[in-house]
Amino acid sequence: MLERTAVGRTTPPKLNEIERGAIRRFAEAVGDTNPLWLDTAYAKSLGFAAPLAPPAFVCTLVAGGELRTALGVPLKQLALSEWAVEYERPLLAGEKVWVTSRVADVTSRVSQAGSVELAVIEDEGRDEAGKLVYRLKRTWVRISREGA
Amino acid sequence: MTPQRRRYFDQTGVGEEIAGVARAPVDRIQLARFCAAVNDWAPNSLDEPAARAAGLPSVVAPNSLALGLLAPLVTDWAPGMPVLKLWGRFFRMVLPGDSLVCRGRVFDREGKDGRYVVDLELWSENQRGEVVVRGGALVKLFYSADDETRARVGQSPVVVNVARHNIVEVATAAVPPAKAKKKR
Repeated sequence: MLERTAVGRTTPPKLNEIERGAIRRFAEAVGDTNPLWLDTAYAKSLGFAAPLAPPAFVCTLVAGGELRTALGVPLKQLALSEWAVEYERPLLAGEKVWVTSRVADVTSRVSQAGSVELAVIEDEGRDEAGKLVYRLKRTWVRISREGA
Repeated sequence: MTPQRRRYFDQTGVGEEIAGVARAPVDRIQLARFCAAVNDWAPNSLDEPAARAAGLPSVVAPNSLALGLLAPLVTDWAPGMPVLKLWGRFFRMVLPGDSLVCRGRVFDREGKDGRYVVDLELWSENQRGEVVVRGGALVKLFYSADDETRARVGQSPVVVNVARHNIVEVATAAVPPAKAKKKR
């Protein structure tokens, strides 16, 4: 079973800089050629102070700890099942965000394939003024290929 | 930089399709690049013997790659408009050699108090037609070119209330729209 007592565990915040090079590498890795991620003049023409980070870029940001290890099973037994980000505003290149992570839920549900164990881990990114920028919810499902 | 065409709320309709985009086949180089970009050194995505020992047919893409490939569909469809929410649920593994086609359509739309949001349905399929990821996005749009111009000069937005499922409730403008130029 996944460790239910992990619910509520929270990491310390970690400061992440939204580096232009990191944005470029992310965009290149998925073949995204939108100039909004790299071109300052283009971003300004659309009313932004700097290039933006693409919406899925938040999966590169890290909190002050890895809470999957608190679930009591080897990391390789956890597969990402769902992913959802909500933005209060776009994330800009060059800014800094504090990221914290929290175990929101550990649960099991019965499906056709049997009992499924799930853990929901939520990240939250706040700007240097402390204002919420995004929330990222990842749902992990336990897989046991070892035939357990 | 070539300016991209804006997407306006008044020109979108429920059920409208977003042109599908075929991504280049996923290869091991891309897996390595993506793992490096997200700083997730998953052995099952990078280490062939480790992946096989874990019972996989080969290395597999991190699920977040499938989402990363899907997301540009949204930001290319509505250039420069804020994505309020983006989500996906993963149904199939992506292996090297798989070719994904990313697709979407306007699932719903809503206009309320001068704020216009479209609800997009998104998914990607592999070369066997199997759904790999299914998800969606909420994107904020300007109602029209006039609405965008008004925002740029600090005027109040055009207000046209559009209920979800495309039922028009009330259609009122915050200010007389008379000054709006006739469209060609």
